[in-house]
Amino acid sequence: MAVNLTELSLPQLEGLKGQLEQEIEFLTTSIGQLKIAQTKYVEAKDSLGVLGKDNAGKELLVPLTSSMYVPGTLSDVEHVLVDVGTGYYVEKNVEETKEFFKRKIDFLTKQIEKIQPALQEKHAMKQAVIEVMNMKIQQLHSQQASQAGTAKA
Amino acid sequence: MERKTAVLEASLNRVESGRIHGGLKSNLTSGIMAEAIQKKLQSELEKYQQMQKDVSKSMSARHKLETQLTENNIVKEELDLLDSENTVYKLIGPVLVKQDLDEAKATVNKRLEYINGEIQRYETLLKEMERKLDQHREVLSSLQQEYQRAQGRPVGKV
Repeated sequence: MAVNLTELSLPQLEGLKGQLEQEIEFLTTSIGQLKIAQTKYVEAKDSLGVLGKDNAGKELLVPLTSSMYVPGTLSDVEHVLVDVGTGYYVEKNVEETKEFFKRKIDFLTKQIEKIQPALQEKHAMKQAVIEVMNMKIQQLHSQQASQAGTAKA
Repeated sequence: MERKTAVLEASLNRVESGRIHGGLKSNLTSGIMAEAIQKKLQSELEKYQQMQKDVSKSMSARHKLETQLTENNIVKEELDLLDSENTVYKLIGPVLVKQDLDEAKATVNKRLEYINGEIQRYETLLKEMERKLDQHREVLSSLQQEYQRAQGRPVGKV
């Protein structure tokens, strides 16, 4: 849809600007949320590094609550349970899990890359709308100045 | 649609401010007529806003469904990557219950079917609502013009 911005009235431009601002805010928060999710996956992937062969059978403290720990031994360094969404958990070995996280991180990167250009486009559009608005306001001012003496019907 | 609404509201604001000016300028018969139209306009506007609320309610419901659709699609993709080596657990309340992979796949597929059906339903519902909203908008703008004419103001002035 091609619309000549200069043909729109000031209230219309105002509305358009508001809409663009909303869209920009929405896209920005979306990117922020995607980045948060991505960081979580990166952290989870990193913590898999602890599950090496040399750590098998070692003692560790398991947090039962955030302030109480019980001692335990790391009996299995091969398998982990992964939350794949909607309440489903899958038992995977460490290699599969690393692949799983890599998939998730790549997926999120792709999503962010998809949103980024849209956000830039909206920014550019908003800028254009603001420019046209300023132009219109100036036009209006000079018009009012020249018509100040003439009475209107 | 949102833009159009904003414009309409802006022009209605103009009508509001026009009422004050009109009331000061002329308290002749046109003023009485204008008042009657203004009342009608007000009630129609309220109806219109109620319809808008309904539309946005349905929109957010559809949006929620779309989110669920995406999540279930992701789960389906993950489940499709598994073989019989992997054990699947389902979180029921606070416990994890072992579940058959095929069973889990079937559940997710059924869910996807249901969500898609629901989205379709909302789609047609929203289309119908939008159509009604458009009709109502026409009624409003003709009322608004009538009102301005009754006040003896030029129509369509910015």
